[in-house]
Amino acid sequence: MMAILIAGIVMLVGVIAIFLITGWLISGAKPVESAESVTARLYKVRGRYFLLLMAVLVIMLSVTLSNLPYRSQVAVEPEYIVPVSGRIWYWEIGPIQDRDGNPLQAGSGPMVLPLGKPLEFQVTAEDVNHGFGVYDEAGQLIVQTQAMPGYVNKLVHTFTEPGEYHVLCMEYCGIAHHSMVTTITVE
Amino acid sequence: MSSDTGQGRGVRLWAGAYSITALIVFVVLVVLGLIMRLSQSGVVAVPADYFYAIMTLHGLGMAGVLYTAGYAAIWFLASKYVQPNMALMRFNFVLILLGVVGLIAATLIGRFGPGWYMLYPLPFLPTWPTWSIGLAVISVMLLGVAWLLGQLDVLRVIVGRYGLTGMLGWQYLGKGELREDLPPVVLIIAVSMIAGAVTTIVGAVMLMLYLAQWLAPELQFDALLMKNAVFLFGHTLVNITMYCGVAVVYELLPTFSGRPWKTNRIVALSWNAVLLLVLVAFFHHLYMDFAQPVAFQVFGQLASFFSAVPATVVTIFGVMAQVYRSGIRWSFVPLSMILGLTGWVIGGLAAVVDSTIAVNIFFHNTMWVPAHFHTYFLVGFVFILFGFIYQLVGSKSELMGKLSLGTMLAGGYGFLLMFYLGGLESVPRRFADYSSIGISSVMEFGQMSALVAALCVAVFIIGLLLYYTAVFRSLGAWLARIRMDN
Repeated sequence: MMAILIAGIVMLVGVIAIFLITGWLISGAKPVESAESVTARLYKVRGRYFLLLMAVLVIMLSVTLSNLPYRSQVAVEPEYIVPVSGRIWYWEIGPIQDRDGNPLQAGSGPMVLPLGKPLEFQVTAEDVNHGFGVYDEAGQLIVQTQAMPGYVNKLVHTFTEPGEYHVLCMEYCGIAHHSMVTTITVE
Repeated sequence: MSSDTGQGRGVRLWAGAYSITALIVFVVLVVLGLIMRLSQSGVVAVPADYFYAIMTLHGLGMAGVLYTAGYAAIWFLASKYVQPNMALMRFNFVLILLGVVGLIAATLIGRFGPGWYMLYPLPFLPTWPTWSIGLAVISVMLLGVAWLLGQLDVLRVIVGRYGLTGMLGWQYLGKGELREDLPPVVLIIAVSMIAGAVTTIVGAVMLMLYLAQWLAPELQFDALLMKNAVFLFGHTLVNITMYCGVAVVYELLPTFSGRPWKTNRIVALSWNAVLLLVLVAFFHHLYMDFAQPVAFQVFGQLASFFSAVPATVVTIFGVMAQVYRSGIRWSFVPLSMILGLTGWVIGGLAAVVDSTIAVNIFFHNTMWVPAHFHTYFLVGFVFILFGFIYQLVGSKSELMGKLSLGTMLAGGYGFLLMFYLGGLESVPRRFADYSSIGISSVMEFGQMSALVAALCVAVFIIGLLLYYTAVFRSLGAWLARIRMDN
C-alpha cells in the first residue's frame, strides 16, 4: 500500500531529522552569544520555516482531502450491496444483493464476493460498537469502517485480487473482541 | 525552584504530595502495561477478562495520573504569580484518591473492562457485574469533579490578576501600551484550563447520562453523539496534559539558559490558535465513522494538520532561542526538558500522519495509535514531569539522573518502535492475544513485537528505578528545607 509506505518513510525521515536537531542543540554550539543576536537570526529562519510548513501542509491537504473514502465523496457507483452486522462477538455478512435488493447468492453457504465489482458494504452493529476491518491474504489491512448501533456506514470497495480475506473487529468490543474473526472469499 | 521563587511552604508540600503520589501510581501502571505486552506475546497467559480490566485500569489510570501530575506542576508554577485555593487542592487530593480506589476495585475486583474511553454503550454490557459499572462511572465522575474544580480555580485567580482577555494575551495583538507583562506560562495555563474546563463539562454531562443509564437500563442514547462527547473530553484532556508539560518547559528552561522567555505577539497568537484547534482536533478519532458529517471529518484533518504550526513555529523555535549558543550546562533538568519536547514533536509527527484520513483507513485502531500517544506521554510528558519533580525536590544526583534518563530513553524508544512497526504491519490494538487472529503474518509479528516491547519496558523500568532512587533519597533533605523555611 502506497499510503503506508509513504507514512513509514515520512516518520523515519522525520524522526532522524528531529533527533539530529536535538543532538545539535545539546552538543552546544560555540561560542556563547547574547540572546538578542541569536534570536534575531532564528527569527529569520523561523519566518522561512513558517512559509515552508504552510506550503507543505496546504499541498498535503489538497492531495489527501481529494481522496476521501466517504460514500458521498466516492464517484464509483457500486454494483452490489453487502449488508454487514457486528454482534458480540461475531459477524453477520450478506446476503449480497444487487442494487434492487435481489439476493445474488442463494442459500446459506460461505460468503463469496465478486472480483472486480464495486461493492457497497452497509455496516452496522446490533449491540455495541465494532470495527469492520478487511485483511488480505498477506495480512495487510486493506479497508475498514466502524460498525455502530443505530447507524449504517457505507463503505465502497472493489476487490482486485481473488482469494480468502479475513475480517477482524477493529473496535474493542468486550472480552472476546480478539476472537471476532471471520473470512470472506473473493472470486 | 524552592523558596527563592516565591512559592510558600504549603504550595511546595502539596505539589510534592501530588508528584510523589503520581510517581508511585505511575510505576504500578507501567507494570500493568508490561503484563499486557507479555500476555500479547504469548509468554504469559492472562485470562481475557483480566487482560481487558487491566487495559482499562492502565489507560484510565495513565490518562488520569499524568493529567493530575501535570495540573499539580502548573498549579505550583502558577502560584508564583497568583494564589490558587490551597484548601481546594487538599480537597481534590482526597477526591482523586477516592476515584482511584473506586477504579481499582471496579477493574481488578469487578473486572470492569470497557477500555479507558468507555465507548458507549460498551460499559453497559452484562459481561461485568452491575456494581462495577456504577462504581467505575461514579469514580470517573469524582475525578472529573476534582479536575473541573481545579481548572476553574486556576482560571479564577488568573482572571482576577490578568483579566479575561489579558490572560489570553490579547493586549499583545493590538498596538496599545502594555500595562503588565504576561508570563508565557500563565498564557499556556489559561489556554489549557479553558479548553479543559469546557470539555470536562461535556464529559460531566456524558457521565451523568451514563449514571442515568446505570440506574435506568431501559434508557438508550445516540451512540455517535456519545462517541463525539467522549473524544471531545478524553482527547482534550490528553492534549492539555501535554500543554501542562510545555508550560513547565517555558517556565523552567530560562532558569538554566539565563535567557528570558517572554510573551510577544507571535506567542500570543499561537496559543490562541491552539485553543481553537484543540477543541476540534478530536474529530480525527471518528474518521472511520462514515455516518459522521463529512465537514466534521475535514475539520478534524485541518485542525490536526495546522496544530503543527504553533507547536513547531513558536515552541520549538522558542526552545532553540533559549539554548542555542547560550552556554547552558546540560544538567538533568534541562536535558529531560529538551528530550521530553523531542518526544512531543515525534509523537506529534506520528499524530499528523495518522490524522490524514487517507492514511487513517490503514492505521485506525492498529498499533500506530498507541505508538503515537505513548510517544507523547512516555518519552514526552513523563520526561518533562520527571525534570520538574527533580527540580522541585532539589535532587542533586546528576550521575544517577543522567544514567536513568539514558536507560529510559533506550527502553522507551525500543518499546515505541515495536508499536510503530506493529502499525505498519497492520497489527490491531487492544487484542488480549493474537493466536485466534487467523492470519499468521499478523499473529507472528504481533507476538514477536510484543515480546521485544516487553523486554524494552523492563529496561525502561530499570531506568525508572534509578530515577526514583535519586528522587526519593532527596526527600528527607527537601522536607527539612521546607521546615527551615517556615
